[in-house]
Amino acid sequence: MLAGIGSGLAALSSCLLMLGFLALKIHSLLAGRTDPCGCFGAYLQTSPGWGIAIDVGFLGAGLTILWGLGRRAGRRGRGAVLLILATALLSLAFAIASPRLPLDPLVTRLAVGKSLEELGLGGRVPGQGRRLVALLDLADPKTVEIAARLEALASERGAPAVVALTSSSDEEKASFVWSANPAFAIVKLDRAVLKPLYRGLPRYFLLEGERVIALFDGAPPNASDLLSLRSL
Amino acid sequence: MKPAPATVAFLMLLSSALLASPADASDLICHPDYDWSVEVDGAYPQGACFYKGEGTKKWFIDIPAYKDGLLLDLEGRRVLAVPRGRVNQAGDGSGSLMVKDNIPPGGSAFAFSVEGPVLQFQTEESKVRILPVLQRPPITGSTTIGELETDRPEYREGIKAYVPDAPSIAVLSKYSKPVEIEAYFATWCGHCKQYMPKFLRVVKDAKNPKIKLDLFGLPKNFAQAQGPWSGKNVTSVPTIIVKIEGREITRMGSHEGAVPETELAGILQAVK
Repeated sequence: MLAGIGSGLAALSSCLLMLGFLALKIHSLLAGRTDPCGCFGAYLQTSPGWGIAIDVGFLGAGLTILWGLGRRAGRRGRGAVLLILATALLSLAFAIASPRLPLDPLVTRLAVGKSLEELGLGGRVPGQGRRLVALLDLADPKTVEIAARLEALASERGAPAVVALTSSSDEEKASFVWSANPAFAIVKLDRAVLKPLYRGLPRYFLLEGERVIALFDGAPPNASDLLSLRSL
Repeated sequence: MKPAPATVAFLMLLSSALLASPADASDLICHPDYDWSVEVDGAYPQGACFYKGEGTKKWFIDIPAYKDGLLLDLEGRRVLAVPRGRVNQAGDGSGSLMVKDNIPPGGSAFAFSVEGPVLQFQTEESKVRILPVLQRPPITGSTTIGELETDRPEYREGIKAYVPDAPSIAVLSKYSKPVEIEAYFATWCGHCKQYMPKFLRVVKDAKNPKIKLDLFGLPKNFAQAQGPWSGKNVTSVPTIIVKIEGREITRMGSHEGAVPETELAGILQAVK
């Protein structure tokens, strides 16, 4: 459809596909299945009603294209092939570069100014006042070194307490505890709770009370950086 | 000769400083950590618990049958016996303990060893292992919420901690058709450990005699082993089959982030 090749067939197939999805979803809903479809992973949990509304929207888009085709001839020939190639190349480049692109504010929920409640962490981060929260993968061997750096940071005068959040398994947590020997608390949470907060681990955020006041990716922040931050 | 008032005051201060317990400054706050099991000679004594010392590399192990508590000092690479008199409840209702960890010299101390996720040591009385709860021998076959609460602290505390959505519970409480729920789960499954306590709390809170729960623990090789799960297309855990008036209606989606009470209420409302 993007290249304008076989637009009619593509639009018709899409519309039929959407009708199929709609029929299945309505059938499931009538049979009492109310769990989200999971189409958008952990980022968006849709209710069945919303799932149907989204599909109706897609169906409408497909019908609009079918209607529009009668009024405008599609693009054909070499230009279309070039367009497909360019789109494919751009998509590939984007996929490769995306881990390094500054997309976190767009694709994760974690942002300065948000409250723990808004992040789905209400009541799950122990302690009060200023805390540095580390999102960690305990199975990653580098995390042992990170833990040592976090402890050194926490021991600085006036530095915030450290709390680690992880969705690693109990076994991974056990091995980590015996090898890294951390003094800070490790809180285990569902992956579904944590995943919307990061693209890559480790990631850190500074809390003032219940609100995020700073974010750090990659290496743990320095104590001086943390101490120089003012509350919002 | 009468001593000078300044001398008296000095002596009083000195004696109070000498008599006062210095332990207050060394109180270690320990919070229960239900991700671990305490195994004693191959058994799992009721009430035995592993505690994380707040802001330290020390852990406390409470085995009710032992005359002393045990302080695991990871940095010191040893386990120290702590007289019970040095251990008090924190008093905040959280189950946390206050341990005076300035233990006088001369007490019992034990060396420990670590093998992967398991830490173990030998006391005068028995062999103690600290291991992740999922590594405990599983519960297999028919069980009940009460049995789970007694035997598995991670389930008991998970059930206690979960607060279900009140309107959904109201729907479940009032449902009038007979509902039979068959729940197949595994105590070795991390996802079950997260999800099942929430689900069980929902069933408990519904307090509806029309909703009958049959709970079955599965072994690790359940696909090959025979049991109540056989022939029911149970391919993963947890599998929760909802039957209304004897007919299977659906299987609950126990995926991460699932909210059991709203899902179950939705199912029951759809089949009125």
